[in-house]
Amino acid sequence: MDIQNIAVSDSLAQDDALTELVNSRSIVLQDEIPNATAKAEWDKQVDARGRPLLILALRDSFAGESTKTFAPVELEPHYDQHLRERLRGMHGAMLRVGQSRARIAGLYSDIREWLATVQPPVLIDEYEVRLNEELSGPYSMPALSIRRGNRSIEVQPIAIWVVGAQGRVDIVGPTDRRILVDDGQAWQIVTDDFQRYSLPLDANVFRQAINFLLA
Amino acid sequence: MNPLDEILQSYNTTRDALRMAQRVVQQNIPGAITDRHSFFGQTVQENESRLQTAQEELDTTVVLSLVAAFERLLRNHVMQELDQQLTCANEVHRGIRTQVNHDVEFWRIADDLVAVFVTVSANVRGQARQMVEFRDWVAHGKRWKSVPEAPSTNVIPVYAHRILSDFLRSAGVI
Repeated sequence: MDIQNIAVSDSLAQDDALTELVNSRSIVLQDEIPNATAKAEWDKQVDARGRPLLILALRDSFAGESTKTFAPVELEPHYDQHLRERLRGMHGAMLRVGQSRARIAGLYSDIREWLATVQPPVLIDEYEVRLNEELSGPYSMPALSIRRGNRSIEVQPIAIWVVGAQGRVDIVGPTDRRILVDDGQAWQIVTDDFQRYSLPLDANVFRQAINFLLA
Repeated sequence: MNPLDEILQSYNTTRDALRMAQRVVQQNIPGAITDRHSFFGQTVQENESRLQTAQEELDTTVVLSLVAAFERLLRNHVMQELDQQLTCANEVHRGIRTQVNHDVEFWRIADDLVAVFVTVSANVRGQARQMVEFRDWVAHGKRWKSVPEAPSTNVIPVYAHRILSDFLRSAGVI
């Protein structure tokens, strides 16, 4: 099943020519986004020189998302192959964002469990941050704030396209930070020891890192 | 001895110095900051922001150093291989060898140099290419608008060391 839900924003709908252009390429979207849960929305913006730009936002039901900017000329039939390649890239990026969100949610679930009994106790809040990477465009990911007394640390997603890893989340304290990487199998904490590079992240390692950063 | 170790060791030392500076700034240790330091007379927030920027700059420039050393090691290794393989029985042979060695200096690292080492896994070769792409972005002035776009991947310094070292070991360079 391919993408079924392709919408046009109110601001774009006021521009008949551009609306007709994006509608004429819906069949290409359906070809290249083989995902029945995906939704696409075209929007219109204007660049610094006053030229129109088309913004395509893809989302699926697994919280994957990808947003990219297109020049109207890229949607002309002459550039069919180019458009298809960009759409395939966006589809892959959307899936990757959704998968990473699930991996990060798993990490946060572990963190909540590891900190449930820690003494002195900590308060945990979850909030959303916006990231922007070349392959996906802007997207949202959850972050954590961990507070003990008047000190707090943030668990912040940094990137999901990392050389040698599947994603990076930093634990940022008032004076220092620790880097967590997703190696595709499990989360690791990066060490200073360049003979070993990283250690598997578990309750003890995480609590040590938190206690150090909150000290 | 892995020549990349020295670079990462210096990186670790500099990063620790930044951490210590951050503690000094935050704890406002009397006498630690004098009028000879750029931190003098600045707010804690301003100094924290400067240190954060310095840390980010350090994280990118260390990758530049690691890739530069990696590139030199690979080129030297190829030249040594050529010296061993090419006979030098006469002036013409010597001329050929000199010219081939000269040409190696102009091989493009991502496309030519890395590709030669087919015994290194395709995955590690791909990661080394991504590192070179990142290095190029840093080296060509990442903040300037004339630089096309940021590389598609984030690089962690310790992982850069690991990947480039893995490559050099698999290639028999170290």
